[in-house]
Order: sequence, then structure tokens, then C-alpha cells
Amino acid sequence: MAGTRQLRARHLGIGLVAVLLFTVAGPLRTWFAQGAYLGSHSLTLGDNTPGATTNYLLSIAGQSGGTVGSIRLQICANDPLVGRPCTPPPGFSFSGATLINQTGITDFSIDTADSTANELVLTHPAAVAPSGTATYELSGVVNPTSIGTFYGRIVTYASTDGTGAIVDRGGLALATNGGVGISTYVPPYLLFCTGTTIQPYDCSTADGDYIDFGNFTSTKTSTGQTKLLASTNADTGYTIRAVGGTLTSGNNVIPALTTPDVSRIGVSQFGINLRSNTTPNTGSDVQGPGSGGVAPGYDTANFYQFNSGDVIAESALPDDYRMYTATYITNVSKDQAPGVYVSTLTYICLANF
Amino acid sequence: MNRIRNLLRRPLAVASAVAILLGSAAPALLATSAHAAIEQTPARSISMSDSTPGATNVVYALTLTLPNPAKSFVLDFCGESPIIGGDCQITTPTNTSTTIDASGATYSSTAPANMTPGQLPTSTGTPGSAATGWSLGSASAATIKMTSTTATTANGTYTFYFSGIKNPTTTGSFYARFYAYGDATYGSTFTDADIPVAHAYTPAAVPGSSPSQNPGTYVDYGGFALSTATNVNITAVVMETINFCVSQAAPSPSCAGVTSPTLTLGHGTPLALDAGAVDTATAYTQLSTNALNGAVISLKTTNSTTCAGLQRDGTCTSSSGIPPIGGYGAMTAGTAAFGLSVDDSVAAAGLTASPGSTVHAVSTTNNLFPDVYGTTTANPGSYAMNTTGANTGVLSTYGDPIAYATAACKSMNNLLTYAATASPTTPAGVYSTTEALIATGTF
Repeated sequence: MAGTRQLRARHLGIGLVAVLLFTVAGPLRTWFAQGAYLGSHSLTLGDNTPGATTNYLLSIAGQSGGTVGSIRLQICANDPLVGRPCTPPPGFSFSGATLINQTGITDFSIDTADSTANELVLTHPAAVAPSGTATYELSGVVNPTSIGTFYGRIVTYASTDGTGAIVDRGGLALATNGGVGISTYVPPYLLFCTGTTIQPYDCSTADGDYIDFGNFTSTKTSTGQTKLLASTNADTGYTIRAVGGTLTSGNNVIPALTTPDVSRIGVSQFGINLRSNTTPNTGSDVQGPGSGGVAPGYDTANFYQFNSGDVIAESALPDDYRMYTATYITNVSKDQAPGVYVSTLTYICLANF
Repeated sequence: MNRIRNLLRRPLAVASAVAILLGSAAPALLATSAHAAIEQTPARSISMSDSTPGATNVVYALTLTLPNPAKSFVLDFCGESPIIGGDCQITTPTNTSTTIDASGATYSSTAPANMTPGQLPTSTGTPGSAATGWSLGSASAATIKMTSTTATTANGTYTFYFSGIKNPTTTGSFYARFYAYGDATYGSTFTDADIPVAHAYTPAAVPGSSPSQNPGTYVDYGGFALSTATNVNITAVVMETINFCVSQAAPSPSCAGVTSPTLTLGHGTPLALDAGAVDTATAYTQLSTNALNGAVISLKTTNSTTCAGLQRDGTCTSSSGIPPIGGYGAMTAGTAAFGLSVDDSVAAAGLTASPGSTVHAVSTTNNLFPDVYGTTTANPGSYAMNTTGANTGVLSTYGDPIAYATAACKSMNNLLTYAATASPTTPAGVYSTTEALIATGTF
């Protein structure tokens, strides 16, 4: 009994398969009956982002050599088989497409009357198809809006309107995806340090914050130096200001140079600049790969000044390392009151993000 | 495939089987009296290289065991039956377009090229021996006569190949009759104790008469049934396919396990890029396609037509970006750059099917394209982000090829390593880009 059931089931199965095969065979035979299969063919997307409006480059090689008057490019969601029902991919559109380039036979144009949103017919006066590669570039094509595979069907016809006898046919598969999103964060930074010595561009080596001029004399200029190292990725760079007072000893003052002036031995004066000087022979020009510079008033060799709060150096852009050398000069007159003259200068570097 | 092969073999097998069956029954049906020494060939078959009705240039392979030594034989094709002495109207065709035509037959002792091993005349695919000294005596529409200078060995098994035969154009059975003779002249001279008087094979005096011929004094005989059958046409459609995905995690076969490819470059917490290091992040592509001519994966910057690097806050000016590194080369920390390296593909973990073609990185050694994005061996620290070339570069219309396959492939994963570093002057901010990875199959 069981054997009989199995036999019946088997026969039923064979019957179903037969029905299925015959059901499928009709459309398949129709498909096989149409035209020759194209040689190498491809459809390249300028952008495979879902919904993107982009260029499509159709490349066809290995045509059978028959007379071709039109090419139909059909885009389907279901399969690439010519002659079978085509489900348009959601969102896809040839409606705004323009034929912008072509090679091979180059007199094709878009047959708008026979084109639809997902079918584009290119037409030209019927001629023998080229044996080599022909390309047709379209702009303004809108991709399907969903990620995944969709299909193209390429058919060439002897007629000029994409109907009638098929000369060649081919299918292809395409894919949309979302691409790769890449991001990174560059944090703001301001590097600034001071010292009597700093090894090139390394704030960890900054050392010393005290300058001893020794004994002032009216016959010689006293000098001292401070190194300033700055760098920032602030959009509008940085400014360095010198804040403090001139040298004083109680009520006795060595006047600061409020306007740029040269060093005058025997005249009480205090000033700074950030250049390499010869009178006296001291200081260094700015160094380093950055582009920051010395501010006006402090940028002329052998001329010095000091106004508290002045910008002494600056950069208007993000700037790589810059090593500035602030040079102090002090002269005293013969009648400069004796005493211990002291000043405290604060350098403030401000980045402008 | 086996089913298809079996299906194709079936007509041949049936032809052979029926031949043997009818041949076995023939002695009981014979109308003519047989000599005591005359024997039916105990094993015999005719294999056809093609059973299509009306097929031309068909090979008929006659295999038989001959109990008695023979120096000639006749093979008659008949429409009615294999029974010797019965009607054999097909031997005198009035319309050769619908009947067998062996007039163009040629003989060979070895299998012609158009008879494949599966069509050879035994179930094992091993034919009988090649008989020595045999040649074609004559061939007419339905009669083939063979003669030899050397007699066959008693009980020897031989195969004779006849090419150039046209099958009957109608579908169904037809028959053959075989007579072997002890002499080389179809029985005209051979006598022995059992055959005291020699009689030669003689075709019917009147074409179309019944019986159609006198087979003469043969020493061995046999009958065959053959059949033509309409070919089974089998068609199948293999659709063009391409399955392409991009994932941060390595995809499993068929793009399973894909994760969003949103990459953040940097180090520390939170992740940040600075001039002190080259930071990397990885993603994968997976490509499967049956494209005959392979496929190309191209990289294209989609959020700008002018900036191939990382752009800050969605803007792109010459002073506010991390620039593309350009051609393939080392990336140095502190020199702002953005690039990509690509490894040759490996099959997705767990793939059981053959992966097919490798998806090569466009590299120094596998390079069908202008630019380079990798090497066949690991070369950490080198990257590319090409922007040059009229039709290449990540800013071009169709992007820059970064990997390619030359044939179909299955679930091949390519590792993409994106890298970037900032310079001391790289403005602070959030930098980003979106890169389309485009797979194009050439079918």
C-alpha cells in the first residue's frame, strides 16, 4: 500500500515537473528564438548610489554584423531575458536621459517616441553594425531607489523604431549600493611654549624663564633672548602678544621704546624685536616650516620697541611650527638711577578657531 | 547532467537492446532452412552516432561475434523486419528522401571522430577488435558489402565503422540483416561439408519484390532492429547575474552578514586624526558574477566633483581638506593625505562552492588599468587615491578601477583599507567623504 502511494506520488511528481517544464518551455523557446547573443557587452554606471542621477555607459562588442537601425536598452527589476515580461525597477528613469557621447556608428539619437521610463530606444538610419566596440553614453539617468541587483536587456533591431526582427540581444546585471562613508575628526590644537632655550620645534625641551642682564652700563647695550615656539590648526591662525612693563626699580624706570628705534648707547631705553640684528649683534630671524611672521614694529632688524599688549607675532592661517626669538635690548644713561631693575613679561598666544 | 546524458543514450541503448532481442528470436522465425554449421552471431549490435531522423553523415558501428571464420559479409537495411527471407522493401527505395541511404558509406576499422566514447558500441565503451584486411566491397542505398583478404578468427568479436550514412527520415524502427560468408565473394565460391553447393548473395531481380534478395550460402547471420527518434531539445536559461555589496564586516557568502560601511578614521578616545599617526579603517567588497568577461570594481568620490580627499564640514576648498595621496606610495604621518589600499580577494568564509576567478587588486603585478591600489602581497603603509587621467581617477565620470576579475567569480571578498593622516596645519574639524564602489560586469 505504501509502495503504491509512493508510486503515485512519484508519478504525480513527474507529472508536475512535466507541467512545469512545459509551462516554462514556451517562454524560454520564445526567448531563444530571438537574434544572436551579443559578444562582450556592459553597462557602466557613473554612480551606483540608489536614486542617484548619473551617467550610463553602454558598451557593445561582437555584434553579428546584421543591419541595425535601432538599439533598445531595457532596464528591469526581474530578469535580463529579452522577450520576457519586464518589471521596471522602482525609481529608475530614462526620462531625463541625454545621449552625450557615442563611438562606433555615431549617428544615433534617442527615439523619444518609442522610449519609456525604463526603455530607451536609440535610432539611426539602418546600417551594418560595426564589428568592433560601440559605446553610447547617456547622462541624466536616475538609478533605482533600492539597493540591490537590477538588470539590463540590450536588443538591436533592423528597424529604426526598436520593433520587429531582432538582430542581436544580450542581457546584463547591475547593482546599486550605498557606498562607503568615511569620516574623521581633527581636534583643534595650539602649541605654544617659551624658554631661554628650545630645541627646534620641541616644546618638551623648553627651558629657562629668567634673563639676567648683569650690570647695566652707559657704554654698552645689554641684551637677552627668549625663544617662542608656536603652531596651531586654528582656521585663522594665532597671535602672540607680549604683556608686561618695562624695567623698573622702585620708582626708577628705564623707558620703553614706544616707537621703533635703534639701540642708542648712553640713552635709557628698553625694547624688543624678533629679528636677527647687527646693532647689537644679537637675535635670530624666525625659523620653522610654518608661515607665521613677526608683527610690524618688531620686524625690523636693529629697531626695537615695546608696548605692553602689542602683537609681536602672528599667523592668519593654520600654521606649522615657528620658532621666534624675542631679543631684548637695554641701554642706560649715565644718570640712570642705580638699582635692581626688574620686569616680568607674559607672552600670550591666542588661536582663533 | 547525468539525466541528460542518460536520456540521450537511451535511444541508442534501446536500439541495441532491441537488436539483440530480435536477433535472438530470429532463428525461430526464419523461413529458410539453415545449414547445421551455420550459426547466428551470439552477440551483435549496431550503434548509431546520431538517431535523428534524416541525419546525415551518421556513423553506424557494427559490432558482432562471428562463430565461423568469415571473409565477407553483407549488411542489408530493411523497413519491414530483420527476418531473413522476409520482405525488405527499404532496400529498393522509391523515395530516398524518406529512407536510409548508405550509398555514400565509407569504412574504417577505428572509430571516426564524430562517434564519441559514449556512443561506442558496447556498454563499457570498448568496441570489438579491428578486423584485419577488410575493405568496403560496395555500398548502395540499403546494402553494404564488405570483403577481406583475411578471414576472421572463429568466435572473434569485431567492430566495423561505416560513416556517411543518412538515417531514414521517418521516426521509428527499421532493421538490418547480416550475412557472413566463408569466402571473399559473398558465398559464390565457399563450400564445405555443410555447404556442398556455393550460392552467391544476389539482390532481388525486381526491385521492391518480396523476398527482395537471395542471401546466398552464408556461414553466420543475424538480425538487428534500429530506431530513429526525434531529438530531445533541452534548453536552459542562465541569467546574467551580479551580486555586489560593501560592508564594514567581512561578508559571508552571498553577501550575508553585511554591516553598514561607515568608517571613522582616527585614534584615541574619541577617535581623532592628528599629525602623529596614519590611521586606518577597513571595509570589504564582495563580488559574485557570472559575467563571461569578468568585472571591474571602480571607486568614485560622489560628494564632490573636485575634492578626492576628505572634506571638512561638507565643504571643499583648496585650503580646507585632507588631500588625496595621489599615486600609490607610502603615507607619512604628519603629511596630510587620504588614500586606499586594496588586497587581492579571498573567498568568503564558509563558501563551499568554487569561488572562481580571483578579484585582483589593481596592482603593480596585476594591472590592466592605469593606476595602482595594491600589491599581490601585503604592503602596509602604501596607499593611492588617483585623480589624474581623463577617464580614470576617482573624480572621473566612472571612477577609478581598483580591482578586477577576468572571469566569473563567487563571493570573493576584497579588503579595502582606507588611511588618512593630518598635518600640523590641517584645520580642526570633521572631515568626511562618500565613496561609491561600482561593480560593472562585462557579459
